[in-house]
Amino acid sequence: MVGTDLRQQLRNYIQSSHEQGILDETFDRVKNLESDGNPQFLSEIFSMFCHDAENGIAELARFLDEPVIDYENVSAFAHQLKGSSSSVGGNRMVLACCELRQACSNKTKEGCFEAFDKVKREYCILRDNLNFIAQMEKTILTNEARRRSQ
Amino acid sequence: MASDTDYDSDGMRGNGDGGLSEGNGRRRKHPFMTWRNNLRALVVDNARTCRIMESGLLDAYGVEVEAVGTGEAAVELIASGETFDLIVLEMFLPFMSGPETARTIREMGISCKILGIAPMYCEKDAQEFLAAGIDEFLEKPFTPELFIPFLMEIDNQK
Repeated sequence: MVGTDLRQQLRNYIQSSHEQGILDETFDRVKNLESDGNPQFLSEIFSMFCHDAENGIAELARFLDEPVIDYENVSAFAHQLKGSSSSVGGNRMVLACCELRQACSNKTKEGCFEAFDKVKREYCILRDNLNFIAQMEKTILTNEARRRSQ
Repeated sequence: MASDTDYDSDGMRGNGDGGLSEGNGRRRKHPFMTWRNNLRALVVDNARTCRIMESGLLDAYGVEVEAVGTGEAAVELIASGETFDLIVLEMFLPFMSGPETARTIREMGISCKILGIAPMYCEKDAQEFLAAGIDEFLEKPFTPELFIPFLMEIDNQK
């Protein structure tokens, strides 16, 4: 059945994301919070995370663009990004944020730039993963609703 | 986010972000755990995604949740007479920090369990937060493995 195939595809995709370290078990807990009465939960929380993460990354870019880097502020934003990405199970992004924080502690400009590039890369990977999962979920739910109404 | 099919609606308290209370008194009909007593928690976290996740998890485990984004809003809520069995309090809040919020809440005579949370564990932060009056310092993500033991303790003591 198509529905079963899509669900299996989604499971395989999530499994692969786990194996690549992109997602961790916290993501599974997020997914379990979705219920029949709250089918949009995943897409809404992911959308919220992406919005907040992009704002955080924009702020980081601003601080790192200054001639004299405010390491305290960069560290604070990296800290916050780490918290929100850990809440959705974004394992590799969490690690990238930790590296940025460490670079701030070491007060190395080059280290901060490298770590920030990594944060941006891992965010893009995580965002694409979450968007794909949310989109698959939406397709599955739409198909199931259509089947029920027939 | 929620619809009526999964919740017993108690009416909406209000909606908002930042300093406004986000709690709405609605309970999930089929939580993952049930308790002998009605348990209420206050989540205080300025990071929106974290706040929603922390609230969502507690709700999923049968706890009635209010959520705010600032220490000032938390203090205001408690000063208005709202009572909680558990407070989940982020350390790095803007303006009134987590430790300042904890200190103020304790000075108000509130003795409920306060769990301090932060994105990263740091011994110095933990000591500062514990000295301010929290009961435990936890590193995010906020997971059931971390909070269920506290809920069980609270439920047994009520």
